[in-house]
Formats: sequence, C-alpha cells, structure tokens
Amino acid sequence: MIDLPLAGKVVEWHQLFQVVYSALGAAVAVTIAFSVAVAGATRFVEARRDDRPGQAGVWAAVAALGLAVCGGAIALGIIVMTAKT
Amino acid sequence: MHSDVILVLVIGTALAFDFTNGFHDTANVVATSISTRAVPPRIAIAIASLLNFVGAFVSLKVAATVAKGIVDPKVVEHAPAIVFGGLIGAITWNVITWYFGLPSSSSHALIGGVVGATLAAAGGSAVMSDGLLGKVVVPALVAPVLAFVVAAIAILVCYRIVGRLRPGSVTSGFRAGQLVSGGMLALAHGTNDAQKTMGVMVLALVAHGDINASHIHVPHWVVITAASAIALGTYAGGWRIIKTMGSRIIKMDSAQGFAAQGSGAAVILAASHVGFPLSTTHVISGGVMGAGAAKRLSAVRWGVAGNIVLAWIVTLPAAGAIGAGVYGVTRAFGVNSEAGPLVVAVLIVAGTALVFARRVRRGSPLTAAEA
Repeated sequence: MIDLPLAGKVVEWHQLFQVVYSALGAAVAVTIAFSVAVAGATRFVEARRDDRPGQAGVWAAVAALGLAVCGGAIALGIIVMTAKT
Repeated sequence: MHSDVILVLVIGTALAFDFTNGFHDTANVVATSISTRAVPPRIAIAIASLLNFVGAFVSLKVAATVAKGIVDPKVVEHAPAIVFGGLIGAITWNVITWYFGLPSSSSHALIGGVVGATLAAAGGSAVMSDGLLGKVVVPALVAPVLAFVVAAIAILVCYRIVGRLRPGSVTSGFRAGQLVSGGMLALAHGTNDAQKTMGVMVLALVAHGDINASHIHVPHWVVITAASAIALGTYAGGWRIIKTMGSRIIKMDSAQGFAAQGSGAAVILAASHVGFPLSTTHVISGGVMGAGAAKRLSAVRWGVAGNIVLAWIVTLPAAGAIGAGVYGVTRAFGVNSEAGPLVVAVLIVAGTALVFARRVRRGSPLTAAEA
C-alpha cells in the first residue's frame, strides 16, 4: 500500500470519496429508475393496444414504481442538501 | 472606519461578476434540454433562471470555503484592496479568455485572483495552501472526470434497459425526464456558483470591518443579492442562446441528455454539500462528453477536452498574476486609498468595452486564424 502522508493530510479524502460515491450512486440509481419507468410506460402502451389488460396493469405498476423511486431519490437529495449539519 | 466607496466598488464588482457568470453559463445549463427538443428555449431559460435563484439558497458551505478556507480572513481584514484585486484579476482573465474563445472557468479565475492578490499583499503564509489544494485544485481535477465516468455508466445502463424498445416512446419519455434533470442541473449551478460570489462578498465585508474574521457568517442580503444577480444573468444570457441555436449546440438523443444533465447535477450537488467550489462548466462538459463517448468515442470533441485541460493548468496562475498586479497598482495610490480602486475600475470598464467592441467587430482571433 502506498503511503501518502502529505496528500493524506492536505486532501480531504473522506469528503472526496463522499462526493464520488454519492454522485455515482445518485445519478446511476435515478437513471436506472427512470429508464425502468420509461420501459414500463412503453410496455404498458403496447400491452393496452394489444388488449392485454393484465400485462398492462403490471407494466403500469412498474412505471409508477420507477417514477416513485426517482421522485424519492431527488427529494432525499434536496433534504440532505438543505439539512443543517 | 474604512472606505465605503471601496466596499461599494467591491460589492458592485462581485455582483457584476456573478451576473456575467450566469450570463456565460446559461448555455451549459440549457443547451442539452434545447438541443434534444425536450423544452422550448424560452421555457428552458425561464426555468433555469428561476432554479439558479432557488439554488443559491440551498447551501452555504461553498461560500464558507471561499470566505475562510482559501485565504486567511484575518489578513484580508482592513484590506479591501486585496478582495478588489482578486475580483479584477478574475474579470480581466475572463475577458481575455472570452476574447480568444478559450473555455476558461470563472470559478478558478475568481479563486486564482483572490489568492494572487493575497500573495502580493501578505505573502505565502496568508494563503491556506491546504485549503487551496484540498478543496479547490484536487476537486477541480476529479470532478469533470467523475462526471464523465458517471454519465458514461448511466447512459450504458439506460441503453441496456430501453435499447430494444420503440425509439419514439423512449425519446418522449426521456424528453419529459429532461424537464427534471435540466431543472436539477440549474439548481446545482445556482448552488455552487452563486456561493462563490457570496464568499467573496463576505471577504469584502470582513475587509470593511462589518464581519469579524473570527466569526464568519453569510448575511441574508448577501445571499439574496447574489442569487438575484446569477438568476438575472442566466435570463439575460438565454436570449443570446436562442440566437445561436442550432450552430453551436451538441447533438445528442434525449436519453444522453438526461444522463449528462443528471450526472452533472449529481456531481455538483454532492461537491456543494461538502463545500468544494467547482467549475460547473467543466463538470457539465465532462457529463456531456461521457454520455457521448459511451455511445461513440468519436462523438467526443477531444479538442474541447484539450482546451479544458489547458484551462485547468493556466487559469489559476494567470488570474492570480493579474490579481497580484492589480493589488500592486491600487497599493501604489496608498493604503486603503479610494483613488487606486477607482482608477482601476474605470480602466477595466473601458478595457472591457474596447475588447467587447473588437470581438463583436472581428470575432475571436483564434477562430479567425483557424478559418
């Protein structure tokens, strides 16, 4: 393991890693959730057009779940940002 | 009692800097939404302006970093010419790079200018090198690369999920999503960029003796005026974007736009939360390039990437040198003399007008040379 005493003292690695994992986690999670919502909505339209009400219901639920996760993640982000620490 | 004239000059200059920051960065914030036709230009600009204003109220950690984490506030105390020199250094560097068409970072210029003027006034001991390296230089290097990687991963995951679906409905879906991702990007931009001006305004108030250097805080009027200046700048800059639409904006699909905006917003908000003052321009460029590169490597404008790297290397020392020079000029008129800053202010306004007229008449010398 490389020892970087100066860099360790000067660079706030904990904060830097916090930025890396929170940005990566938030952006990828929201993109996955929104993509699932778009996929669900697209499949819902196709299933309804093909007169498959059961499948349409499932896809509508998937779309709604994806949107809910997106909304929740954004709300959580804003709460964390505005919270006094 | 310190000069009110200098304080008014410094606060006015800081707000003008904030306005130009919003004016200059509108393109970065709204271009992706407009180019994918997710939002009509006028609405995109209005939303960006409003959310830049709101964003300025989200956090004050970046303002705290600028006010007390980069230069020793006790040195700036009773020396408003330092803050003035720093601001003029940043503005001058921005005007020079704008004239040559180089993608300079206003944030790095601002910090470089303040550091340079402080170095000239009080020497190396007044600059908090740990803060400068740990909170500015290293995050400035990491953030655009992080935005690139995050956007690339996000778009790959996204294509994996929606790649086999009908393109029409997927495009419509992500266009709707861009309303939110574009809004978050504007909010993030307002959060990080407006706070840098707030930090400099706080330093000016410390220099004037209105705020104790040992008990730094950001007054409400500082937050409100900085938020208003960046929001007005964003709105004013938008009309220029409408005119240049279609020629300078990168073409991408709505999923790429969503990934680029979401990644940029996530990086800027996460950095703002821990108090890192970033170049929002570089982060957004990193996100756009990452979303483009994941689909096709040749989509990346490597020339732009090279210019960004050049800007990283040059901006801090160049703005610092100008800030130091301006401090030297104002100091030549006497300690805390009003004459120095007034003369420099008149010269900078005249110089900026001259450069602006020349650029409008002849275009960028670099672009002209390429043609």
